[in-house]
Amino acid sequence: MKTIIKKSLVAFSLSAATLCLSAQAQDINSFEGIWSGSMTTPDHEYWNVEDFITCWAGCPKASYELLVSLLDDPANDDMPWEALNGQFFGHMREHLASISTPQGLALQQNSTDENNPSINCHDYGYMRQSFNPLPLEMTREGDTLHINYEEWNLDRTVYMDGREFPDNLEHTRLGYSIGHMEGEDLVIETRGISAEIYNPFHGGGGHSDQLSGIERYSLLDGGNILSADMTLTDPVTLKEPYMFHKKWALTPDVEILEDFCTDIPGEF
Amino acid sequence: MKKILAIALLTTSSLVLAHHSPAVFYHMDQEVTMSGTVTEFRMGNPHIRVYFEKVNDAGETEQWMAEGGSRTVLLRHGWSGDEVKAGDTITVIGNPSREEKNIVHMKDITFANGETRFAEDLNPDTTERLLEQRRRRR
Repeated sequence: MKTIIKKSLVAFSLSAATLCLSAQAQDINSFEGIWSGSMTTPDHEYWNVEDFITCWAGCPKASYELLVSLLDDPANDDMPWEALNGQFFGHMREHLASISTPQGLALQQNSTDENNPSINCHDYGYMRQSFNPLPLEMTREGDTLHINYEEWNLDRTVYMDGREFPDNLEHTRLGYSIGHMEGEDLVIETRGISAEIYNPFHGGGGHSDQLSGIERYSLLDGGNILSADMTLTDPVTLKEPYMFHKKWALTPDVEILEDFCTDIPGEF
Repeated sequence: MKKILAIALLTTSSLVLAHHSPAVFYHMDQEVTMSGTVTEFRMGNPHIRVYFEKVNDAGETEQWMAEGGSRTVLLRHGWSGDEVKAGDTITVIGNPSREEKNIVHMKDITFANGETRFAEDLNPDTTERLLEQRRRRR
């Protein structure tokens, strides 16, 4: 009798484990596809004007809410959208400055096009690449998730096999990423990121090689919208975590285009 | 008064309106229109660029560059890269440089065949449409 119960328990455990694995695999697979931001899909029904004119490279929640409040106020109806945009980006810069250490502030104040990777064909770093305005494609290959960014055609590898971060992590621009599912969310942690600049939309400046990032991706609107929250931590340049948000629409008819850099010598 | 406030905001906030940072070098609250003859066209990154010659009021030839939106964004808006070639006469509407350089942030371009197209990442017509939709929903 004991043997029968034991066998039943083992069979139940195996079935549960199998179910669990297949459910998890399905969750990860549902993130696969080509995702586009508002800049390249301006006519997509999901986007509103806030998404279109401002938050296409990610933005802090408070900056987004500021823009919403400006748009909600009829007194601003005559304000050109460029002015709304200016207030929004000003708020983003002020927010980043308010949570930056003196070292972080110094990096922001010293931001120039001399060190802007979009001018000198230097691939973006992790922060700027992961939330850039151009489309991305997520594909799964076994326990590995690939994120292929149209911008610079960079391919990012996310290990989903439960591994730990290596002890002696080599620092690279995109860092070393490990992902896992938390409920229905895809959570990616990245360490080993070399010191780079931030996206100018976020105030420029940069971070140290102690930066780490956590991206939490979730699916909205029946799986048609990819929503991501980014949390950056850097003890050298940030007094507290920098958090921002972005959305993409599922666009299976979009192709990831070839994207290359054209050297522009000394024109800025 | 609102207009003055808006322009003040524009000039005091270092705007970043295009895909990358060079737009901080332009007066987004000012608009210029200029015509010239194309010497080179680059459908590249970080932005497309049209180099052209323009004759100034003193009859001297000046070298100018007009910078538009991102290559792949404009490809999706119908650009092919064949629109402009050396020798073409073009007219550009855009924003002048903050540093008084001979560069312009190109919003619209009129080609040699008379067709006018927006050349920026964000289509201003879409922006206005979405703004209007939002105000109607309020």
